[in-house]
Amino acid sequence: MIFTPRLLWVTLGLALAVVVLPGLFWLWMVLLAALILADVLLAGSPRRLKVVREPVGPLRSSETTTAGTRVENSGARALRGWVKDGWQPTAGAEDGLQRLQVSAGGATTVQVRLTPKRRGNLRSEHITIRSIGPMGLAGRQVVHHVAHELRVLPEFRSRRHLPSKLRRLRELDGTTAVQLRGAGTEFDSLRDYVRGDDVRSIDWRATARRQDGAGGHLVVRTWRPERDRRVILCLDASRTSAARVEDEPRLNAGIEAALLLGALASSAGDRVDFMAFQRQLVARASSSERGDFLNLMATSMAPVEPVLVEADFSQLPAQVAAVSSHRSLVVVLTALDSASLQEGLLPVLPTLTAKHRVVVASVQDPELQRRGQQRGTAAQVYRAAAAERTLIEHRTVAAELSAMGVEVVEAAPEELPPALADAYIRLKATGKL
Amino acid sequence: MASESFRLSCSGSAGGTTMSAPATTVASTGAAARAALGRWQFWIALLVLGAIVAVAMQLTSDRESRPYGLQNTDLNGYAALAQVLQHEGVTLHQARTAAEAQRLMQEHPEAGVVVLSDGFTPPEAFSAALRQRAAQDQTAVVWIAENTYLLEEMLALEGIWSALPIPSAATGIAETLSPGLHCQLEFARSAGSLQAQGETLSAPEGCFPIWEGEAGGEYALVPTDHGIAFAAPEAFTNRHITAEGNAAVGLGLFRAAAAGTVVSESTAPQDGDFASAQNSSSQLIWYTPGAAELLDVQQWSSPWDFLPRWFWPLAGWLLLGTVVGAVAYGRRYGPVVTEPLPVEVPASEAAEGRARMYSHSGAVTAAAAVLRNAALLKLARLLRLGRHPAAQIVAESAARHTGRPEVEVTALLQQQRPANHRELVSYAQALQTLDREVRVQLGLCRADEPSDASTTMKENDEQR
Repeated sequence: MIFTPRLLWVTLGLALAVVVLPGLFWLWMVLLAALILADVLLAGSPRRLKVVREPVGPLRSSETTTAGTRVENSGARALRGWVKDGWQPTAGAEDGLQRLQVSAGGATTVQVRLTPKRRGNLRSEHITIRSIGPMGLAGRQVVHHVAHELRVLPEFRSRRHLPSKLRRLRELDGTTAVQLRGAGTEFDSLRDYVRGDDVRSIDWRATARRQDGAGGHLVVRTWRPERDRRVILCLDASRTSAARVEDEPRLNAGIEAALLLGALASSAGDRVDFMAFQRQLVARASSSERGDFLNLMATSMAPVEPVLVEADFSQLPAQVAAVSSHRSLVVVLTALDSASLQEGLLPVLPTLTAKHRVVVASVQDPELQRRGQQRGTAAQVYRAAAAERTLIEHRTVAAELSAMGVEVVEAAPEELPPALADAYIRLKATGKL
Repeated sequence: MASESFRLSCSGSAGGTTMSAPATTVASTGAAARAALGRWQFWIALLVLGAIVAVAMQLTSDRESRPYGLQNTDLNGYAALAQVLQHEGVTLHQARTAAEAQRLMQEHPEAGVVVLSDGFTPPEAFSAALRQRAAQDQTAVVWIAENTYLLEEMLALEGIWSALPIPSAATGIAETLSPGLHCQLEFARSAGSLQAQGETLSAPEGCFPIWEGEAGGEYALVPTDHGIAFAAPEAFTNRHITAEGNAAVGLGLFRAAAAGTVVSESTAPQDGDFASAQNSSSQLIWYTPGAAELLDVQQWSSPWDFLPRWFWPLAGWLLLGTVVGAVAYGRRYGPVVTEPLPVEVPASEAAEGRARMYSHSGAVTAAAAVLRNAALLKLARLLRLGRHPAAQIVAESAARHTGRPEVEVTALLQQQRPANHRELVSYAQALQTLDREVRVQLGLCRADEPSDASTTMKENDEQR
């Protein structure tokens, strides 16, 4: 049972009657109770409703959508009142509380505008129907526990880098392959030799045939960049990914970098697999599945959140082997945190590098650089020393990884996605995939 | 391939739940009520049980908890005394109001009256009437109060006023009083002693004095024209009734009052001759004034009496309005919505902790060593001196680039060991200045530009 503000005004109005005829106090009381009871009983039953949640498609955070909920009235009386959709706060429901009017036997759709502020699966666990009586004094309220879910995809801010990176990838088309490695580098076409081309790629037979005609020109073979390579993106969602760098968890930068590289590699014709892990695998997507890979990857990584557990890198070789038995580019998006790396990733790297090309991508904290420059007071100098020490450790780890034949990409959160894309393009251009 | 094709397609069909319940998505009223009943079953049962137990306890317990109550079996009750008196053939009539006492006195004109005051006095009219009856020997009256001011007020006699309390030892046990020289009361004399906490009255004659002289003293028990006054009711409680001669005093006093022979010594029962005192008409009206009566006899009207008639109804109504308002505005729209908050830890926290450790331990040498190593590594990369160049080579190269004396740069990068905070700060700044000068010479930053993180980052990218 619920009361409305109007009932409060009626009660205060009846206070006047109490002043005039104080002897009839109990009569006034009974009158008020009768009004309330009549209104409650005459209100349309909020129980005789059927709530149907209409599916709402995934969207990126900070975009706006409307989530529809169909309310069907199977009761004998029209229902008038309020409806409240219980979206969690980060779903950003502007009009979660709305007026509701459903005629007897009729139906209506409640549209709630949502502007999610966060990636992940956002939910509304229930919808509350408040039915007000004809006099608008009192009514009934019932909670319908029918869940609604909205999948909010990562923002993919780094998509602005995509056109330029794709252009660079296209430029690779038809250029001379400077390094011939394996069968992966495919013959593309023949063209005239220009200065700077590798003399080893001169096609002497074609040149000889050419001499027959116009004469005087050397002909070189050109190569398309390798296609149908395997790229495996491994996103670390363990405790190190929870660290906040410049107002965002490290995981978000990793997601952005994975999205950009995934988009780039899948459009370059490579087969891309994505997996997120901590103690176990928490998300995976593959470009061999049906549908747009970028969408698949974004959907699978949307609910991934950092968890305060140590990453289990020991499963990584097995997981990679399960995805691909061929030589692949394995990109590990983690943190160059010496302690977790020494115990977790370093022992399994030899197994990976033996078969695959490994790239370790990590977010660098620009705060450390800034602190290293502040040397005004003793306290600041100590902070600078501590920051420099951390940077030296990172550099040492990076050097150690490089020594193992692992490429290290370390950059600030905003710069990591393009830096990783550049590393990929470089590897592709040099045929090292 | 156009970049537009890489925009995330938002037309998927993930998310959303479709319920296929036949008619409604919530239980019917009856089912919901049953479910709620089931959910709260335990608490409802507990509440009902508690209520039953409370009611049963209320019904079964006839105990009186009032001090000096005739049915009160606690330490401060009079149940023992009442029991013995009834056994002795004294009928006790309890009165809680003056009107009731008046009625009982009319019903039993021969009965003695005990007025026991525990803080409240009887209405003045009743007291006056009772005093008069006592003065005319129509009724035997015993006035009992723990507060002698009340006794004084009730007796309204010249020459009798409240005096010192009965002295007691440090352990709280009161002094034992003897009947005294001027004691005219037979039962008191035969009882021999009294031991209880209480007060005394200053009077020309009485029993159980704490002090006594020729012209009177301060007594616990004082026979007056208006009846007997007793100022130590503690003596007859269940706790103290067995101490010294308390029981004898009590029985003697109340039996004599019941027989209507308190003051007139000629007809006082002989010591030990209880049978003679046990006539069938032995009645005692036991009157305990209460707070309710006090209100009735208030002489001054309360200011509340002058309020208009509608005041209290209105106050009640407004209270009702408050409840209505609270429900109207305070009722939530459904359950509280929770937000699962993500885990977030500042990334530079470890570095911050290390800085604090350096600072607490005053690790000047360690900090200087770290800064020196960092500077050497940075300069080696800036000057492109390979992976692990010797410090001397870095120093020479830096000196060459900046035009500073080689000795000075070598000293800075190799020899200087700061010993205190002041030196550490200037050393750190000197290293920074050198780094900056090298950058300026290499064209990585302008001389007037503050060396900040962005340039460092830029330089890092170039190095990559």
